[in-house]
Amino acid sequence: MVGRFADSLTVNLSQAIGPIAPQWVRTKLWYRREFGGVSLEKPIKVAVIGGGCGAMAAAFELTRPEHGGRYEVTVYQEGWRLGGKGASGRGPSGRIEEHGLHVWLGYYDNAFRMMRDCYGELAAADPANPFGDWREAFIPESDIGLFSPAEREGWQRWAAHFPSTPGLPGDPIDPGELVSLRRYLARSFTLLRTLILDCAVGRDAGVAAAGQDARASDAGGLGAAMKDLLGRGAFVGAAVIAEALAVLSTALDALPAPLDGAWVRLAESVCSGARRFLESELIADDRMRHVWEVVDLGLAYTVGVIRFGLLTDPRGLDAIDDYECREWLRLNGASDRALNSPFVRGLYDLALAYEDGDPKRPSLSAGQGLRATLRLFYGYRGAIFWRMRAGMGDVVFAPLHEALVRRGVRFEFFHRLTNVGLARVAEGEPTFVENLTFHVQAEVQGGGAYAPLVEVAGRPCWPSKPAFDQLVDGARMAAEGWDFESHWERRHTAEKTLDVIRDFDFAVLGISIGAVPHVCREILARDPRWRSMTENVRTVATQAFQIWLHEDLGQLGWEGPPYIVAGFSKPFDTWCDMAHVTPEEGWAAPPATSVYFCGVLPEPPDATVDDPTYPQRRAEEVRASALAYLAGPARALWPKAFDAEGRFRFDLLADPIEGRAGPSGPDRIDTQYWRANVNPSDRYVLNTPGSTRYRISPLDITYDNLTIAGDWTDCGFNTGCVEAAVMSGLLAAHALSGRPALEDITAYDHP
Amino acid sequence: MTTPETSDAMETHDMTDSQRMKRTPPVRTPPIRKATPAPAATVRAAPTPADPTGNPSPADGTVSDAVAQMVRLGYDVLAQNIQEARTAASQFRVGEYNIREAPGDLNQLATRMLRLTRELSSTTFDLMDRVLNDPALLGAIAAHPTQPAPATGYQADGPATAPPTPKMAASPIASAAASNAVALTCRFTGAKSAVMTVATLTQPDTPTTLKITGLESLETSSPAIEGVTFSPADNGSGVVADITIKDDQPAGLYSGIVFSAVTHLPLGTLTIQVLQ
Repeated sequence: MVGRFADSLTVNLSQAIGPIAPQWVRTKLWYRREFGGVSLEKPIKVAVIGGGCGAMAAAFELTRPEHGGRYEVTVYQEGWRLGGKGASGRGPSGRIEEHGLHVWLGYYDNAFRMMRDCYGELAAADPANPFGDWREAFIPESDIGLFSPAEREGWQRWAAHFPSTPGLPGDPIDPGELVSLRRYLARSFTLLRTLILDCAVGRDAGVAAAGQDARASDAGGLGAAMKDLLGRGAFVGAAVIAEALAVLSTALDALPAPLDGAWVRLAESVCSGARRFLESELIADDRMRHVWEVVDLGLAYTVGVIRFGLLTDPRGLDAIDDYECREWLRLNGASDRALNSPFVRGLYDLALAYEDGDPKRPSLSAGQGLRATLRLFYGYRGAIFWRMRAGMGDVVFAPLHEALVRRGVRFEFFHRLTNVGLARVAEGEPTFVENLTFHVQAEVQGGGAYAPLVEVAGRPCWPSKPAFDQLVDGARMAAEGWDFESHWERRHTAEKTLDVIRDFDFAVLGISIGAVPHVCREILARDPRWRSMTENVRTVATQAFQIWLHEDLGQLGWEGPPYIVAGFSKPFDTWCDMAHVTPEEGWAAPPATSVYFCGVLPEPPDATVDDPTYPQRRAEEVRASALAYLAGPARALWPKAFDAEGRFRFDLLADPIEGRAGPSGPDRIDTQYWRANVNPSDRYVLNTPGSTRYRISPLDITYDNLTIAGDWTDCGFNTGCVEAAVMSGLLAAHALSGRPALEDITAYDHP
Repeated sequence: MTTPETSDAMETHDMTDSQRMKRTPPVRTPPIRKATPAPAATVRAAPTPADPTGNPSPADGTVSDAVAQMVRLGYDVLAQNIQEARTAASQFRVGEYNIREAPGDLNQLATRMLRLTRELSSTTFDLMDRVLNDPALLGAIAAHPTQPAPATGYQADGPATAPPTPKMAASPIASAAASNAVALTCRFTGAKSAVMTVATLTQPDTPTTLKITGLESLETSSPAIEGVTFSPADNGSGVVADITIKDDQPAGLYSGIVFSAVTHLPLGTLTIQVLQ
């Protein structure tokens, strides 16, 4: 009875006093059942630095009601809004302005679980809350368009439809369903078998069958026997291959490890025969050619998994981390045609996997590339893609902010970390984080908390600019153009140093790796692992632009679905029709649609972060690229967006300033939105070959009061994406609290 | 004294004399990448440390147990193959076959399928023998001779002893009662509606790809409907014609001849009606 009462008291008191308690009085009840009662103890203070997915996941996890208020979390965020690379804002007419195109994938189980819990918590507190149900916020999408250059000129388009699968992302997963490479391989065999049985038989029935006794006593004989079977004619080939795949699939489950070389050669022979058969059936058919390309890649992956012994390698797919993904597939028999297929190009484009933003230097580690592909194709639930109802800031970080405030988390906006200070110890002795230094970029009038959200179309949203009217000397800052999110903005009003014990017990470094060299100088000076990490975990700058159009894409000549497209003309190879978000904006006369474009931003050889003019110069380049894109490649997408003289109809662009005539012609691009994501913390994280070994885990305990969170860490799914960042945040929470259990982080333990 | 529910979490940090909190080392750090599925019996079990050597776990039980297990598994594979072949043979015998897998003589086909399956199963046994041909297991093999094949009712050159009840293939338009008739259905896409009115299709003598002349208008000079393709029916029996009707296709009857892409011999006709 006392226990239940105390639990209830803990939760209620936290909610009641959390938002209103003075800063120096943050005492919560901490229930200790071993004493059969309650005791008053100071909570453990955790400083979470950063506001991206990793930092928010850590904060969300540490403040779950199950912890009973044990962790007092304060989030320190530069600028005026949460989100990091996922931040979005609202500009004129309440239009959504993003860093780029954000699409969630159907296997982001950890990220979706966090959002479902967040939305559920808000609904439980207030069923009429403005955020609604999570299923209104995330919209399933089953189609994607992939482009490839046509043989002569122009583009070929391939629409891929991925059927819905049972369940929803974030649903609990039965431990019995945990996947292995064996299971992936068995499923691949099953899919190949289905494809073979569905193919048209086009060969002559009179194909000569080489006679050879199928019984053999050695591995070479086994391979010859299988090849003999495979060569006996079309029908026989199809049946034999199908049967052989069934045998291989069954054997995968039946045979214990390790597998003998005979099995390996048998599987390679079957794959070789399957390749020949399917090539003859599919490649001549334009519609099926791209299916063949996917099959070719699947066969190469299958042969590679077998040949490289990945089924039994304890490192799983990390064993091939040193290989570049395309090159590894080529080693295992993939054709050039398949390696340059729209499917592969689309994967690289979606992963922004180009070193230094150079399209001629695709770079993706084979291990992580295959891991991501397997999870994508075999692990998505519900739909393969999930678009957001509005900006990612509105759909993800606004509800998270609201839920965390309700839980008692304190947010210190306009705090930019400048240094992680280590305690001075004798050489060779372990050290710890002794202090954290910030630039206080601005102070809130009256010393209260900054209110970061604005209402647009009835929902709380992040603005594209800070509320200067809440800030001390805000009018002057606005007039002088203080850009709080810019790496090059050094103006600030004060410095603040947090000291261990007095101000924090633990720190979660949730910034991006691009910022690490600038704020972790002391760590880098003494720690070669951190130096190697910053040198080898690469990032790439990105560029994006958004347009709002008076006519929808159907009127402009685009037939959808699909509405998400990859593999198109560089630099904006990925784009998405965002007609569904315009009702969420605040236009007096809403445009028919908006379209988001994004891609990598090539790094010039003279790039330097010391040049304060650098961001403006790159932004002007993006503007010019956007203009050239609309005037050129867009013709292949929207032929009716061009007039009789072949010029893009710039009058289609919707001006967000109501009643303004606005510029005409190409200058009308200035009414739209674009950005160059060149801030070090905005750079997109890559997984280049051989880089995984340099990542550091949030569980690393070298600095015993510090953990890290972000998609740049060794989080089990080492690639730049929301899911990786959330997994990293969960690991950071585990590092500090022991929760969640590692087994409860979906796919942390994964080949 | 009851055990605190959060005792694991409480032990995550220690207090030093200076009251500075420190994290305690986690039970494990790296993910478990071993390519084996979690045991089905494990439900939210406590984490176990990873094998520091990174080697696969040694097999449980004695070597002889492992040999016996592999022999049993081999027979399982064989039995599965036999069952699948038996099912396929039965289907062929009663006339349920896929156009792409059906040569003329069903009995010959059934026998051939069974022989292939037996040969593949023999291959599996040869493979098992190879896998077992390990010096460390030779003694165990000698001590455990292979068991005879379990009784399955399978006979080498004859039909299975108990064929299942044949299933009738579904077809919206009954084809002729000819013994070699193939069910043909249509799948329409496009904004306009259409129905199939007449469809006849006979089984080719040899495996082939089906083609069709354009579906020509029978009533007017309307343009023909092109681009018709064929695929196996989802239920494994018969053929489906995929037909796209353009938005501006005039209503009326359209008909074409289905023929073999290999021999160019006609195999049937297909007539559809595009509705208003």
